Amino acid sequence: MTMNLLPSERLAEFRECLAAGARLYGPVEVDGIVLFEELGGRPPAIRPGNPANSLKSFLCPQTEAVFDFEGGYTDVALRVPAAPTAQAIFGVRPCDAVALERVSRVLLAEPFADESYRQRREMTTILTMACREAGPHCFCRSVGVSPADGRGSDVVLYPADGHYLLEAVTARGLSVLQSAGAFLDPARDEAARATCQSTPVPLIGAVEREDLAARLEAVALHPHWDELARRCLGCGACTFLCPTCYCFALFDTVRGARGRRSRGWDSCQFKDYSLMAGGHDPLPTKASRIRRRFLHKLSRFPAVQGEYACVGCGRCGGTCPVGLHLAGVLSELEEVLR
Amino acid sequence: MTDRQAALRDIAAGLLGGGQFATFIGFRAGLDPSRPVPHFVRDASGAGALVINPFCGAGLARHVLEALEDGPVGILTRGCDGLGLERLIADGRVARERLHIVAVACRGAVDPARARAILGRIPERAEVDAQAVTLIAGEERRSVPRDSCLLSRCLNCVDPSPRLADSWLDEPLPAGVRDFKAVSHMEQQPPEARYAFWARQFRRCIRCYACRNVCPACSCRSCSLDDPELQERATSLADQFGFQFTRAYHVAGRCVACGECQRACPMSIPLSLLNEKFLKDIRDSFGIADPHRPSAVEPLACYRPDDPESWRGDAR
Ligand code: SF4
Ligand code: SF4
Ligand code: SF4
Ligand code: SF4
Repeated sequence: MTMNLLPSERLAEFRECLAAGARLYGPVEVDGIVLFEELGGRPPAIRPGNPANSLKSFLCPQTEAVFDFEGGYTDVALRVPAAPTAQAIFGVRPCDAVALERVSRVLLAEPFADESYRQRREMTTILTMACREAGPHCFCRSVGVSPADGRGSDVVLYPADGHYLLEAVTARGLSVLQSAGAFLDPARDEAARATCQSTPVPLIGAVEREDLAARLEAVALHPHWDELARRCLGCGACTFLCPTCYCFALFDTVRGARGRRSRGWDSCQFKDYSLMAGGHDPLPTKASRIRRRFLHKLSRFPAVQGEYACVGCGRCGGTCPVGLHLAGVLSELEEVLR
Repeated sequence: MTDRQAALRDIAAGLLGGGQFATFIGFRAGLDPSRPVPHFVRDASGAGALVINPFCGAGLARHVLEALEDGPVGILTRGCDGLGLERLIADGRVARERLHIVAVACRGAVDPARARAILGRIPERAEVDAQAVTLIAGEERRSVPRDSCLLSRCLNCVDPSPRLADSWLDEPLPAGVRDFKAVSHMEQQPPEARYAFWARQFRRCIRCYACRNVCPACSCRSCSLDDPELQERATSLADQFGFQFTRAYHVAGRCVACGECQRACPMSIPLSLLNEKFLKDIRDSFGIADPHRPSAVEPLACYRPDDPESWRGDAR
């Protein structure tokens, strides 16, 4: 695909040109933590690793209205929210972009494509910053993602000294580069990409295993899941922040004759997540829910989709209040099996 | 340090070996040396995995609720854990006699994220004393001020040792008096500045309720936050304020200032500052010097027939 060089000092102009036709989001530092937010002219905080929240916040928002309703039993009037407008997200890490590709496999699968997600995905341009340095909890490479991965991105920027190598991955990315043509230099710098491809990633040793799925299935009933369950708080922060977790729930709030049907993030780590009408709950214990999270990501999803439902972004590693994250749990399981 | 660790392992092994105790709660090493994890030892032979070091940050008190379902519990207890246990006991959720409290004096726990930012890599060890923190990785040793890398609750801690104990690993350290400096500073800001500050904080809440799930004062079996009719799950700013006030009011008068809510919050929302406001108001309105310590007289939890204000409003 098309490649160009962007001198580092013109990066701000490049961003301005993105902001012209769309709301522009990117990582910013707020009270000491880095979050994806609307940039609003602020300089992006591009740091090793990922912001606390993921792109989910903009593509499957934490809560959104499905429709508002008003009326009685037979004469209900529905009002659906306005269609989403164009947005561009700058400074995404490759793992997060790959995560979108994973989520899309589920939410865009026909015949039940998720209309709200589809509209947002079509209105979103992803501008990825490849990693020259990984974050402390990253392990992308051991789940088949590279610090120079272009999947899920429209444009990838490979940082080098004094400039960025820009690669358009999609037709949408190509039109971004065309509209920013004035800042770009048609020269190439293959080394910029190669450098990112070989960026060292800290936690891969804890996760990289042959037959990961088979090994996990083999310990599915090991008592260590009970030990993990004693430690886990069941808060679901790991899944709310995970870029590849896509579960949601519908809920209605009714005020007199008016109300709203909303959808919002749900989590397999919550008690009652799988409670069915009639009272049966296939995931009745915390241990069964934790096991489900790991098996889903590393065995069941790959069995159907051929890829892990974890991109090694490291968020769960940095945020679980009791250190019960993907790399940590896998290394503990290896330890108890020894 | 190692003396305490050896003594802890002996006590835990003794309790579990004696057959009366089902679980001992402490810490074990995590994948990252700066993040030990809560650990639940189930038999005497497992006690060797227990560690004590300045990276042991997670609060342990709340974990007794589930562990007690299997039988009596031994638990490593710092000052903040001790206050949490007192809370659970005062609220009738835990029976004192089903606990064996192994007390340890604490000089503060290191915040792994701040320590890593200072060192530029993950620290392997740390030493904490009353003056400074020394972070160690490989050959590198760096001494830094306490306030640069301890957990914020530890910087305001006035309870280094628990008040309840069945065994001691060392000598207790004296208790202090809370000074409420941060709240006083906040109270002096104009209302618009305070509103802007809290709006910025609350806006990023992801409503995971980790703050509730770790809290020793939030131990209800079923919670209003889980009912969308009682607490809307929407995340507009108004809903975020609504949730945050609900949480803070529900623990007002029972919060023990253990700081677990803030430590657990994945979005680094300074929840302790809200809790401290309630504590300071209780101190100032009711003349209670240490309102975070559970006691026989808890002004927001008792009703007196001679109360000058009628709670039912029938004196209208
Ligand atoms: S694994 Fe950690 S973040 Fe996830 S639900 Fe359990 S305690 Fe919360
Ligand atoms: S499981 Fe953890 S490391 Fe994997 S994608 Fe989710 S948050 Fe990232
Ligand atoms: S832990 Fe933090 S992010 Fe989660 S609900 Fe509480 S305040 Fe919000
Ligand atoms: S509100 Fe926070 S500081 Fe207070 S008892 Fe609960 S977890 Fe501890």
